Amino acid sequence: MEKQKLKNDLVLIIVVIIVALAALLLINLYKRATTKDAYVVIEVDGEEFGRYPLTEDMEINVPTYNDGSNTVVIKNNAVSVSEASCPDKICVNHKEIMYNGETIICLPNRMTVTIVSGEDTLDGKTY
Amino acid sequence: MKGNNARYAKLIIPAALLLAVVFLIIYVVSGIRSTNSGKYKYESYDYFDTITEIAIYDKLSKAEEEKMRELIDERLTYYHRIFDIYHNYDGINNAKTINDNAGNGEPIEVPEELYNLIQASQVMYNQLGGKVNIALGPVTSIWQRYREEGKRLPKVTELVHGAKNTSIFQVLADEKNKTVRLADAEMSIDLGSIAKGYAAQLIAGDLIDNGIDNALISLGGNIVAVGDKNGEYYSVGIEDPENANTPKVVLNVSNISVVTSGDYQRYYEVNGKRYCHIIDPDTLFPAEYCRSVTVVCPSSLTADALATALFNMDYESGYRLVFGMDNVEAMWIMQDGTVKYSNKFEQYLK
Repeated sequence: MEKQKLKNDLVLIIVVIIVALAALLLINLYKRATTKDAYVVIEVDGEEFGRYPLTEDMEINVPTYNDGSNTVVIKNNAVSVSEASCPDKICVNHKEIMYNGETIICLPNRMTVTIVSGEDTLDGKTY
Repeated sequence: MKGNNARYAKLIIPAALLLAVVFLIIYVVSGIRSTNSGKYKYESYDYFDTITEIAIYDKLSKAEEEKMRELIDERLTYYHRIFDIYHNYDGINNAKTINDNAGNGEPIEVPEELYNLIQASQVMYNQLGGKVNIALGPVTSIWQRYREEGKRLPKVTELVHGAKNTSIFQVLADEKNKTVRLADAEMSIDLGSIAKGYAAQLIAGDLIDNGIDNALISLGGNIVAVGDKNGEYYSVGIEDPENANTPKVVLNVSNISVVTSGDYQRYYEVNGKRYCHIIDPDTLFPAEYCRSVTVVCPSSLTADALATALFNMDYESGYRLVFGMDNVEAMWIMQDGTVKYSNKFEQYLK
């Protein structure tokens, strides 16, 4: 009887683990799918400073609030802040972001870096 | 108790299988969705000195995609050649052929599309108060020479001399024989203000003729929206002259064309002042009324010509001109960055 109970518990645990893994996989797949054609949007003090494709490696010097400056680096489809004039350096220490919806915030310099899905970006541009 | 547990144990495996199947279905469905919105993209830098981007939103097989690519390449090559004023091509009379034979009395038989463009430009010249003139070649070529050199401004006497032979009424088009002749040897046509808009319209027609219902065509920012994007509007950004990364305004459009004329694409600076490539036929100098004008209307040719004409006049005159036209709306970005709209432009705002 005890043995049977143990067996059932094991089965239950395994199923829970499988479900959790499947959910994790799905969330990841979803993130990856919506990150296709994604853009890196940099805002300073609530205003959009620029919008850059996540797929293009580049370094962007952003003049930020109160004569501050932050350097945003896009490399290998990941975004990080390499340098900043802020005192706390939370943005520089933030791990790099890669997926739709992820954000790095530099509060002292009022800068946010967000990855937005390419889905809602433009289909065309007139100039 | 034991019986219950055994029943649960029996249920767990089918339940797990069911879950797996549900996840599999979700996965496959999301996969299908992403291939559906996966459109066919055509891109080329070979035509009209600009980038051509065409996105087809109809579902195409690989073979159909290849067929479309060939069709677009072939048509764009042809349009590029017939509207070209810099090069001759074997076997076709193009805009340069007309210029080469200026004043020698010989009518040049030209391809239908070139003839139609020249004739349309004469009609529009009258409608748009002479603010778009394809016969302005002698003046635009002077500006182009100085722009390429990039140091000085043309002398006014030089421009005035060039302007002597810029009457569009001396571009003699013969409807019956589809011939064009320039009356004076000093004359030349420059189709720069309208060729891209017309070519975009022609390409749209070619795609429709080949069964395409939904496509977004951009010939260097001259946009033709054919149909819609999977039942939704295309979102088209209007470039901010101060910041190429973020559009000034975003429009929702379908089945219409959008064309912008601005001072920030081709220009040069002398003593810190900007001189753009759009020349006002009346002043012979680049217009400075605004940074850009965007026109939204069904015909891409009209939109292109009108955007140039509006760029060459003040906002009030332009507003009145647009107000008097059917199905035409316009948006101005002024020198100080403010945005102005024609009467019903706001219907297109996203």
